[in-house]
Amino acid sequence: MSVVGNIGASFLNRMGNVRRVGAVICGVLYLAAQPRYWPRTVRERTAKQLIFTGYEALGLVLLLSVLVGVSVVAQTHLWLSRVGQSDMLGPLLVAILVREVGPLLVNFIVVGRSGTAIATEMATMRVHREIDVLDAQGVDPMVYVIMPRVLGVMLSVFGLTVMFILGAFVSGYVFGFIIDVTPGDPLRFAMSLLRAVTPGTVISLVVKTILPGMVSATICCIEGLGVKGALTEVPQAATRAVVRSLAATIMISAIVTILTYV
Amino acid sequence: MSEELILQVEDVTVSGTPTHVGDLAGISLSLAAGALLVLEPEHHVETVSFYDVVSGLIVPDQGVVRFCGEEWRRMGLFGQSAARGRIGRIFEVEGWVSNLDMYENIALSQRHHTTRSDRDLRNEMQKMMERIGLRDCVADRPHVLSRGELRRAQWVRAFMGDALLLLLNAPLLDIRPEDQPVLIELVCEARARGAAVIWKSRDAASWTGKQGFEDAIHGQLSGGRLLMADGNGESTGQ
Repeated sequence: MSVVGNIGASFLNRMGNVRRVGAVICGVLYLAAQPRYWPRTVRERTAKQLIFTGYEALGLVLLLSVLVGVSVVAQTHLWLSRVGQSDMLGPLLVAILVREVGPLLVNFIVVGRSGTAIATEMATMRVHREIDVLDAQGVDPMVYVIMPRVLGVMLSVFGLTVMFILGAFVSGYVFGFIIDVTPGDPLRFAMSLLRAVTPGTVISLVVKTILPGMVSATICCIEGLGVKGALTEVPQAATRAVVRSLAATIMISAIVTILTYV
Repeated sequence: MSEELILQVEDVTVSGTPTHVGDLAGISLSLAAGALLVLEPEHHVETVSFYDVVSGLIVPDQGVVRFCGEEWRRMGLFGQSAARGRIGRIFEVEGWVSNLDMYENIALSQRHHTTRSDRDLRNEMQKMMERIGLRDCVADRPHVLSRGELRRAQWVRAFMGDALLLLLNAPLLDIRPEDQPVLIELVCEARARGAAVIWKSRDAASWTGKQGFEDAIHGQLSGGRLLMADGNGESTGQ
């Protein structure tokens, strides 16, 4: 095949992957909208996913938010006050933490922590024919296995991002207070941040958390369930799932950023 | 026993299936409520394939499969899942979800398809476990149990909740002879309340005339074809 042919085939293959992910997400949303697909087993599965991906990752996310808050919030205030632009603190912090760093870092953490777990679990279930066992009992894997994970990861990413942003602002302010570069009283600081939050900021935050969360969980499920039956395929599937999820997250983030400023 | 047909398989052909299941060719069979078919396959994969076809998991290339009078492909996604919830199945190998404990595994279908309370399910499970001599293992994960225990736990799962069709794949594998009569009792009780049963055995002839099997029909799966003991390729068990 020619070079152009190879590029074309590779592009079509990638488009096929995008279509598959889109189809699964549409399927999940379609099923999730119908109460009859929410028996107690599925509700419990979703709750477990929220606990694993959201609650159990909260400590790590808050720790990271403190570190980011210390380095970003305090430094930004320090440098802005040196150039006499303290009024820009709110808009700048919102642009950096709310629109970009927060969603991206939390997505990375969730993919690294839960994405690998999901892909490995799916692949192992596939290898041991556990999916067939569910199917034979009338427990649709799309409803019982995929839907709770996609929705659980999606909601967790959103919740964790909100916690990350709050943690970063609070820790940044406290650190600034300790090193004596505090941006005024806490209320004033909070108001400057709130004034910088526009509807576009909120939409950007929601889209950059909900969409990559769903996409990465779906990719991990697809890659995991895509193994043919050998145990050696399991780590390969997990690696592939993480790489593709991270690439998709960065791509979605970049596209949303471009659309926000266009 | 009633004349109600639980399972109708009409001239079903399946080919090009995944590697773990075998091809089937022109299979026809009807099972009425209370019927017992003892099936002897030439290869294990043919049974998996046959059970998957009658459960609506494999769509045949040709022919029709009806469960309780309704064709699988006309049921829709939700209807198919609900119908499979009325089928009790014993798997020859594997058969468990490793990240669920035994209670979650055994009661999964009932908890998914019905609104029966957990207390009710636990009571039924406990009674059945005592009856078959299985220790209280509801909090354990499947890998902790021995093969014999897992097989008996499969009995509990298959017979819980009044299934209409029982697909038993080597149900006595890894079971001591003294524990076997309980299963035959469970099968007789299920048939008496109107369930149809397919019992896969590697030695179907050994069951001929045995207690509980007097009126069983016998079939052999060979080369993807179902040959009934009466020499016909089709049979109605009633």
